Parts: sequence; C-alpha cells; structure tokens
Amino acid sequence: MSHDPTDPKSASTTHFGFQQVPVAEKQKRVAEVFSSVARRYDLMNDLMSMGVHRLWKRFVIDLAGVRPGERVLDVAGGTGDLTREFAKQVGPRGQVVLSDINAAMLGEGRRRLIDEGVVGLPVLQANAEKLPFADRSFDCVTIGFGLRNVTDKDAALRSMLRVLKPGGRLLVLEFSKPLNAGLSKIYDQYSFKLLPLMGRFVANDADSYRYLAESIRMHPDQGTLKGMMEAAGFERCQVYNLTGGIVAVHRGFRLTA
Amino acid sequence: MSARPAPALICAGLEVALNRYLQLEPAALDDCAALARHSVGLLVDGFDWSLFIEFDARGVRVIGERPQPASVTLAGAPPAFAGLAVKLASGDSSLPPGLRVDGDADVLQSFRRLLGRVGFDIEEWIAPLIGGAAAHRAAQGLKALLGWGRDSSRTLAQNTAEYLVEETRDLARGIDVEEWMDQVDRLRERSDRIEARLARLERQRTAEPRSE
Repeated sequence: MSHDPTDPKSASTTHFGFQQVPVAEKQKRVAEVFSSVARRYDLMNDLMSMGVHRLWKRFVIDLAGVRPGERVLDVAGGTGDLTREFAKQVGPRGQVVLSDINAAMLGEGRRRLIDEGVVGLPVLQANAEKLPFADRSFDCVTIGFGLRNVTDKDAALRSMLRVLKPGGRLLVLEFSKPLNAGLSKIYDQYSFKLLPLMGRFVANDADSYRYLAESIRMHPDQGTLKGMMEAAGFERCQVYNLTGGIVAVHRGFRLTA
Repeated sequence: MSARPAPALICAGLEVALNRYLQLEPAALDDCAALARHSVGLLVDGFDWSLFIEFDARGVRVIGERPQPASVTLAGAPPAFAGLAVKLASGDSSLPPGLRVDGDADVLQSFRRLLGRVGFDIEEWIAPLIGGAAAHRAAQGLKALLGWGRDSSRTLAQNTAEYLVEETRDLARGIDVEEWMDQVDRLRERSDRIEARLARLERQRTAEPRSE
C-alpha cells in the first residue's frame, strides 16, 4: 500500500486509506475490509481503544437524548452497540432501525442483538449515501465510526438530513484529529505500528487494520466536517472533542421543515 | 456579546443534566414546546463564557453560540448560578442575589416555572439503579447527611456571631444598636426643636425694631 497521502486527487478517484482508487472501487474494497474483520470487530475495538470506545458511545447515547416513542436510525450500525441502547430508550412505542452497507457486519450485529435479547427491530442493508427511507421519518440519526468509510460523505450527510424530521438531530461519532501535537505523535506511532501488529495477532489481518489507521488520517478534521454538515443543511452544528480530539462527536439539527 | 462560547463538553453536560431533570415530569415537555421560539442566554463572569438554552418539544439543547441573540440573558458569577441550581432543585423558583437579567423577563419567568414544577425525588431517581429498599435507605441517609450539614452550618454561624459580639466586641448587640438608634432619634428631635426655637427667636429679634 502506498503511504503518500499527498497524491493529487483526480475527479474519478478517491482515497482508500492512503491509496487513490477509482471511485467505483472504494465501496468494494471497504466491503472486503469489513467482511474480513466482522467476526472479531468487537474484540478488536476493545483491544485497540482499551475499552474507551464504550465511553465514547455512552457519550453519544447521552447526548442524543432519545425519548420513549421516538424513531431512531443507526447508520453503519455494525455490531449494534448504539442500536441496543437506543432500543431500550425508545421503548415499545418507538422504533430503532439498524442499517449497514456490509452484510457481514450486519449479520454479526443481528446475531449479537438476538443474543442479548433485543429482537423485533428492523435490520437493513443500505448505503448511507442513498438511504431507502421516506423524507422526515426519523427523530434521530446516528453514524458511529462509519462516515470515514463512505465514498461520498456529502451525499451521505444530505441523505441523513433528508430522512430527519424537523427538529431531529444527527450525531456523527468518528475518529478525528488530536488537538495536541505531542498526543498526535504518540497516536501516529500507535496507529501505524501497534495497530497492524494487533490486527495480525488477534484477527490475522494486518492489512485491514492498516487501512483503518490510514482511513482515520484521511478523514476530514473537526472543522472541515462541521463545515460539511452546515453545507448539507444542518443547523446548530457543534463539535465535542473526546480523548484530546482522537475522537469527535459532531451534532447538527434539521430545524427547517 | 463579547463572551466566548463555553466549551462544548460543558454545554453537553448541562444539556444532558437538564434533559434528565425534565424527564422526571412529562408535562414539562409541553412547557418546553411552548417556549420553542425563545432562548435563554447565560453569561458566566470570570470564565467569560456564553451558553444558550434553546427549547423544543423534546426538551432543551445547550449550545455555545447561536446566530441570533437570546430572548433573555442571565449574567453572574459561577456561585450565583450554583445558587440558582440549588434553589431550583429544592423547588424554589426565585432568583438568588448576584444574577443580572437583561431581556424578556416573561421568558425567564416561564423557564423558572418550568424547572420549578419538576419534583425531584432522589429516591425515585436511584431506585431503578440500586433497587427500592436500598434507594429508600440511601435517600434517608442523604437527607440525614444534608440535615446534619444544615444544622452544623447554622450552629457555626450562630457561634461565630456570638463570639464576635460577646467576646471580641467587633460587632454590636442588636439591643445596643436599637438603643443607640433611639438615642440618635431623640437627639435629632431635640436638635430640631432647638433649631425651631432659634428660628422663632430670630424672627422675634428682627420684628422688635419695627414695633418701636
């Protein structure tokens, strides 16, 4: 894999980690990565973040403030961590939809939800760029560690805005840019040396975890993503930096009808 | 407004706390919906932070900046806001001293009523987490602890006041102050009478030559 993120992008290519690939190919290659890591995704998440990803997700759940009776869409919901908590909060009068573009991840999520007694909620294979839902059908949309893998992020943001009811909110939980230069150096060493090593020993797949590290670096930083959300039509956009900016939660509202 | 936006995590903490508090009283959400076109600004002196509380039918959202000014702004030091929080949690919707209000007082009044109507029962709040019996014991323990704290503070204040009055004589006793004020009043009355008498004598003195 090339490690030069400064390659000029042409209109027909996009980044896949540090590589430039044809736009049509990115989706396929991302699918291969997640099909490969799906079975050990949760274990690896715990190892890679030392369990802190549970706190990041808890923050999203608290900030979402989901109430009984609401409709929630968990985009790129993967193994269903957020879905499970939202299902408790919306109660029998509400509904949570788990969606992911990757069938393997979705299957893993459905299996885990059933194991934990969460049954009867819709599970749907869908592309975040073209969500197959009616306009204004959800009170809350979340996307946790998924947006950086989407080929056309602007299209995905517009699609998520479209399915939100007026007053509804989008929460994006994603890796971002550390705020401190010292932390950034340590984080780089960790991401590019330790992470692929852990991927090789635990999931027998160093390349996929190298892609995860590279895709984090290629993802827009806090200010850029906030600007993208505003350009898509979200209002009252706010950035919440967690763990020194390693992860950020972006929240925006659809205020107009 | 020259204040800078409060840190996002401070806004998030306040928002989550307020929404959890409002969840205790379902009717409070109707009040939030009624306030949907309004907002309350908070200016925290010292830190120079601004926060805005916006309302909708789902509760409140707290943000550090907004394009339009708030309907009403509350400004003060952190202890004054802490005092407000304590008063509201105890069901008292009056404003503590040290807070300045600027803007539509009706919006502020509605917001205070909204928070004041939420009954806060610690026992009900923690029962789902630790069970009914344990919650009852914990709530009783907390009440006893708070009661002990209140009594201790009151006793400390009384003892300090007594020491300053009786031992060091830095403060005057209430009865002495009243007696002193009575004496001042009597002195004022006497000086008024003397002044009136002098004025009368003066008039007599100026009137005598004309009668000759």
